[in-house]
Amino acid sequence: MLQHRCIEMSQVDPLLQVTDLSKHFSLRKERLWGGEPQVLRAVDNVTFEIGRGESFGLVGESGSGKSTLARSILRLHEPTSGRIVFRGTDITHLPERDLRPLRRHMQMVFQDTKSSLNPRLRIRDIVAEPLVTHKLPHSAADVNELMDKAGLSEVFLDRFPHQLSGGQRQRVGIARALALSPDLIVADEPVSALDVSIQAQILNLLKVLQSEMGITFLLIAHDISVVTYFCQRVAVMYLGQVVELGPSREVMGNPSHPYTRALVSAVPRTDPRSRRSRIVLRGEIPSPLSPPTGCPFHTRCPVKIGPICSEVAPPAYPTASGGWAACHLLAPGTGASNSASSPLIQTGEGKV
Amino acid sequence: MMSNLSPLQQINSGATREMGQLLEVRGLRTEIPTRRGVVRAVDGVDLVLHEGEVVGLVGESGCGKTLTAYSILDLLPKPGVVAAGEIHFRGEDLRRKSTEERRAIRGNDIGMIFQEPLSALNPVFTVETQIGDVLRTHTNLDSTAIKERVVELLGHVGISAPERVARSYPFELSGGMRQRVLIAMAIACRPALLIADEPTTALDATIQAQIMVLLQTLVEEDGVSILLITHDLALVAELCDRVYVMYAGTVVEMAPVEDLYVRPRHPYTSALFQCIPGFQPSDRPLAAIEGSVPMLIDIPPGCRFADRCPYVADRCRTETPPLVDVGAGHRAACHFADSLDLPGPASEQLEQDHASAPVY
Ligand SMILES: Nc1ncnc2c1ncn2[C@@H]1O[C@H](COP(=O)(O)OP(=O)(O)OP(=O)(O)O)[C@@H](O)[C@H]1O
Ligand SMILES: Nc1ncnc2c1ncn2[C@@H]1O[C@H](COP(=O)(O)OP(=O)(O)O)[C@@H](O)[C@H]1O
Ligand code: SF4
Ligand code: SF4
Ligand SMILES: [Mg+2]
Ligand SMILES: [Mg+2]
Repeated sequence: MLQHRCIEMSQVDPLLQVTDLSKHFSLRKERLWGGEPQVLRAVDNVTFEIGRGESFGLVGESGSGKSTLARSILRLHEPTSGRIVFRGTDITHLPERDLRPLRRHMQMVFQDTKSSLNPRLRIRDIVAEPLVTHKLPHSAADVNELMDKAGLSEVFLDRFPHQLSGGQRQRVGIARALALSPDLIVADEPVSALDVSIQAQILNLLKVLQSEMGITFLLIAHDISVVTYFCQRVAVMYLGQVVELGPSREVMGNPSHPYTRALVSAVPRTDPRSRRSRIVLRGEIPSPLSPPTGCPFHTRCPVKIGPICSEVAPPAYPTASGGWAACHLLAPGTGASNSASSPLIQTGEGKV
Repeated sequence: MMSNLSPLQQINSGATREMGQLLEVRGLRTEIPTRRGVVRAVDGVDLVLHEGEVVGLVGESGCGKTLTAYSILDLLPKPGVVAAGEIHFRGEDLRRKSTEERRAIRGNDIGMIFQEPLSALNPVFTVETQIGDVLRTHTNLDSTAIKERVVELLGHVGISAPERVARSYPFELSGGMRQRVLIAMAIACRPALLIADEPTTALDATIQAQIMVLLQTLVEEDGVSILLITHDLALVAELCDRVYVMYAGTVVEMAPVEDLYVRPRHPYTSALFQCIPGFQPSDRPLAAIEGSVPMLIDIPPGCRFADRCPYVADRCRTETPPLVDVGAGHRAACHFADSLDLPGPASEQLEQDHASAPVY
């Protein structure tokens, strides 16, 4: 398992380092007596780094642990094990009192603006909220400037969230996140609830914040095209684990892990002339309460190679994209590494 | 040769397959009185769907897609009303039918799948009870036959343990399973037409692909026709034969799917395409459509897209562009539909630009 760390360490000037991070939830048993509490492995041994100014994407299906990972990094969940280093400080077990000054530098933007914005506050107060919480002096002009950065007209200052459209509410969420001039913005599905046209407006805004203000982004999205457009690197999650990581265009253009292949193949194309046969995975993600042994994907993997898949957890192997993927097919010297793709290409591509 | 055909018949003859007409909506106008005035949510929509056809209805939020479907189904939320128009299903005008007759048609001949798979199922009843209810209402099967049919239907929509799922409550099922249950419910009485409103929007990519394949199977094997309402233009590319693009309550373009994606004729359609990340290299900003769909109260004359259109001219603000033929089965409502050369995701030009880039 050291290999992926070697690859990852090549990053210069990391803003965030996550090492072997796990977050397990213990669930109380239905019955009052007997038995161990059940353990739900929401995030399992995740390792990656994000460079300063980088946009890093997390993709994966619902329940794969993306939000839990993000919330653990922000210490909104207490990590079960592993290490989180932010701006050179190990924050894994930092007491809230010492964490507070660092919290300023990490902000979050949510998908559901209906519940993440206080319905009883006016927009001006929502945007100024973090400044108030951190007892920072601020003026009306500061709030106006934040509105402006988020592309919101000042006419909205005195309105309430429900009087805004979904796209406008998302801009309020972004203005609020900008209030403390953070280094890192964790955006959890910021555009998933929006129409393509509004989604494009918000993505453009986030791109400007990244390029002009140098903000680092951890962007969670289930839409692969969004992540590929916005992020330099991407991690693909399945059942709490990262199964592949690398430069996003390369990973999505030429995926190495069978799960990434299925995910990419599932994305419908916008060209009716190239309707293709796709890899349709059977069934659904297994329960994280009893994850499969060995490779987490072996119960649905269309190219499973044999008992090794269900017995041995595959280590991370370097991929052609310059990243890594955790799949036995990529083991060097097995002769399988080159044929890894062939069974999938046959079913995956309809276009000649 | 086509001169003695009505416009609608001409549309038929331009369709990709020769088929009978199943649904024909003409001049549909749906209004919702509000405190601020009457919202004309649907304003003069014509729509035709043939047997065995998959027709897409696309557009941004608030364009009137869902209310068009609700009007067809007679399910408008109060105080919404169909103010004008005809809705012919198998040649009969549904608007002339009683509430009871329409209820019988809904569920029997026209099945529906709604936007939110969670709220569409009743949380306190099992799947068996809920699908069974549909069968009890519309058929005279006895309870044993109903039980069997429920399990058969669940199997048909690709649920691997149909007996167990039949006895489950909605909260015990994942989003994908719930959507399958809803589809099973919608096809319980073997409808000829399925109206699916954003059937995959709430689902994950791989589950979305499963549902997509299921819908394809229903069309190919059971001969179901589908009116697919969505803002996902990729889903339309994969599933539909023909497409209607709606903007601010009106149809602004209709075309066979390939023609639309190769050469869209309305600036709004092209703009929608350009919002898709992956349409252009990621070092360029997305060509977002600024602004939003206008309020549909007291609509001024002229083109409704004028405030957001990059090609707007003086004429656009005064003269309403009619929906006119621009090709075989292809119509667009833009004064410049003939002269504009608009990019679509399947345009040749673009294909060359992207030859080296990964496509999604
Ligand atoms: N109950 C209502 N009262 C007033 N206006 C309404 C009501 N329902 C819908 N509208 C308005 O009617 C128009 C069309 O709504 P509709 O829900 O049909 O759009 P849509 O294209 O289906 O959008 P979405 O993709 O968000 O579902 C919008 O302007 C909307 O605000
Ligand atoms: N507070 C919690 N208690 C118990 N289980 C949780 C909690 N939060 C998340 N989970 C579980 O952890 C897994 C990952 O959840 P989440 O990170 O929210 O997924 P995603 O964001 O990718 O949809 C899911 O199985 C979810 O049900
Ligand atoms: S390790 Fe085996 S089961 Fe897992 S993805 Fe690779 S081939 Fe498939
Ligand atoms: S009629 Fe004018 S405003 Fe309307 S779409 Fe055409 S060019 Fe644009
Ligand atoms: Mg989540
Ligand atoms: Mg709708």
